[in-house]
Amino acid sequence: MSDKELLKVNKLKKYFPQKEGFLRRVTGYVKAVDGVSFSVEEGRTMGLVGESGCGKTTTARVILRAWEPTSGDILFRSNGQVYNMANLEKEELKKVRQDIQMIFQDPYSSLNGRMPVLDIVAEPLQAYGWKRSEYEDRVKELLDVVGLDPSYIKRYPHAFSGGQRQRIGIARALALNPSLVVADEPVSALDVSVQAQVLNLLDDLQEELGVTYLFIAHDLSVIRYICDKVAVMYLGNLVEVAPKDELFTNPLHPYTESLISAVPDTDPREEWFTNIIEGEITEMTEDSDEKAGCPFAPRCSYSTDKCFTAEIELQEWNSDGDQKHSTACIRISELAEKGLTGVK
Amino acid sequence: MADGENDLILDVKNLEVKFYHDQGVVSAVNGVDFNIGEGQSIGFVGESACGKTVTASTVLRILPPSGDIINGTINFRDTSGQIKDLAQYDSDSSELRKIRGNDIAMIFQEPMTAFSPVHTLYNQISEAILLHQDLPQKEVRARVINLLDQVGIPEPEERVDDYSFEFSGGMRQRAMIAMALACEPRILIADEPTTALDVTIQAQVLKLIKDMQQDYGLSLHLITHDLGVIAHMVDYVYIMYLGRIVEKGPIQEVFLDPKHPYTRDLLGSIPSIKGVEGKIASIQGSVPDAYHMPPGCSFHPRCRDVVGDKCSSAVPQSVEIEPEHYTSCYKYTDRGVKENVKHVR
Repeated sequence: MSDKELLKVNKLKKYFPQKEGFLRRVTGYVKAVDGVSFSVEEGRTMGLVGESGCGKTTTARVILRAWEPTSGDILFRSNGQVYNMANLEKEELKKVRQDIQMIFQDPYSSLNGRMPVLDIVAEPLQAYGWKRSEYEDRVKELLDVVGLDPSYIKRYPHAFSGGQRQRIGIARALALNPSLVVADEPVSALDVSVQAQVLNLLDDLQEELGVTYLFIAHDLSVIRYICDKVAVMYLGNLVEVAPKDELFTNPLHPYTESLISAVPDTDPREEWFTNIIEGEITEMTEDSDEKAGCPFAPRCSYSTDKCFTAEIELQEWNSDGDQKHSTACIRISELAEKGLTGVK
Repeated sequence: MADGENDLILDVKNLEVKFYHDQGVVSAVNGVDFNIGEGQSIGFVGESACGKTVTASTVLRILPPSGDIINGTINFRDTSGQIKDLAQYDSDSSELRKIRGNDIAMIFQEPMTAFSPVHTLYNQISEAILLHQDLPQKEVRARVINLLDQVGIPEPEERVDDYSFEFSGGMRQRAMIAMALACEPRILIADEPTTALDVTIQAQVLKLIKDMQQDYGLSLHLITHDLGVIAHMVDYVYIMYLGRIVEKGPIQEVFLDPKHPYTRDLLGSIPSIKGVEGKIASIQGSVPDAYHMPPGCSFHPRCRDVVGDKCSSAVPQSVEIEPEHYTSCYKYTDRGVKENVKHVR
């Protein structure tokens, strides 16, 4: 793990057992995350993008150890020391986890309606032993940081709009001064005008506090706006990782190409329905342990017979330092020569 | 907007809808005018609670019991050329039942909740056909299978007897389109048809709606909050804010040269997939709650271009800026309409 990296995930797997029958025998596994590796640099934003059911939220929850990983390493730097989150014991985990916080998708269900803002934002502080006399000022300060009136601490969540609630959620995530914030679809429940406010707030907070984001979203435009580096996920696997501008202008994986072309731009003069992929995301359940073929092959317009059988791994195409671009496609050299369509 | 009054299938004028709740009265739609020509596609865009869905539900008269039409006409021209004011009928009258699902059909946002989980697809799709047309069972079945085939559901002969929960989200939305098309309606209202779907599936479903529109010669009334979707789906767009239309016009003109500050800021607040130089412009504040509508132009508390006191005292009148392109903002007119005074057309 290099000095610049704050988090490095290595071959992370999370399988959910499927149980059937009266005896709840395990009949198979849902491979929600199937060998994912990436790293996040300090003070930067890493985007994780993919369609629903691709395993992006599972990845986030496993990194936080909200769910136990099946295998793999989660290296995280805290106070100058590198820990492997995957096998930390309870006491140590609690200590390290102060530095990782989460922002949730739905600002309506993620705030307890029976708690005033003071208690909601102070909950992480209470968990780490802060006294009321100490945390009240901290909560006021946090509300100010996220652009809410500090006098609101006695109010309950129902008195706030969606955007304001998400600000409360952000204040709560920042309470313990974390170095890494995992934001799981933080703006997808908000209206566009409010979405812009929250995105700009997250951006400003990064500048002020130097916090690192792992930003999960399905909206590619949002990803392009907020992230520095992007990982594209499909059926539990990463199919492409690249700096954002590189990924959008010069995609190397057919799935990334079709994702980009599926997003309608607001310019009505532009052609849109040109490059629509067929089919839908397939089931992740597999009985065997063997990993065969590219998960995207059934929907891919470039797939050959070999794609269904070959072993696919994320490989570096361009290993040039900051411009490192990896993709998991066996036809990469042919496709790169042909050139896939990105954003013009 | 259409060539002449005669081409219009639907002509809604000065529509006002209010909801009566225990907490107070909500003016959901305030003097909305719109019309749809034969084969035309129009779209309503706006943030949540701006009244776009209520406007469409009012046309079909499927408002919840707390909602009431206060004012306005909904003139629908039927196949014989006769014009009927749908606002005049009882919502459970036989006249309206003849129109619903038969002349005007609707696709809903949540394909999961819009289908009944205890009836097969065949049961649900055939319902409209059996209700509106006198066909033998056998032909109805063939028709339903044919519809499912048209909307791209594989193996329609077998899947026709499946339940909605046995389909994926995208397939369910396709089935919904088949159901809406069952009686070959003339107007298709699509209320956020792809909001619950992934981007790649969204593209497939919207393409299908466009294709079906051409095949059936349908008029499309699309409702969405997604400015990218509307840009590629409709000819004419209405921008709604808090129950009023603030701008309307041909899609290219409105999107490339927006006139109303709200339209401009809304377009400016979405990050583009092409990348953004610097920061995106957000609109200050948030949509006020429905019980406390700001007086005057409802956008003035969030507007960066407030012209003067009149912005907060009277609603600006809608003016034509370019042919067929209207906006209501004091930047373009001096004339306002006092609150609760009927719109002058």
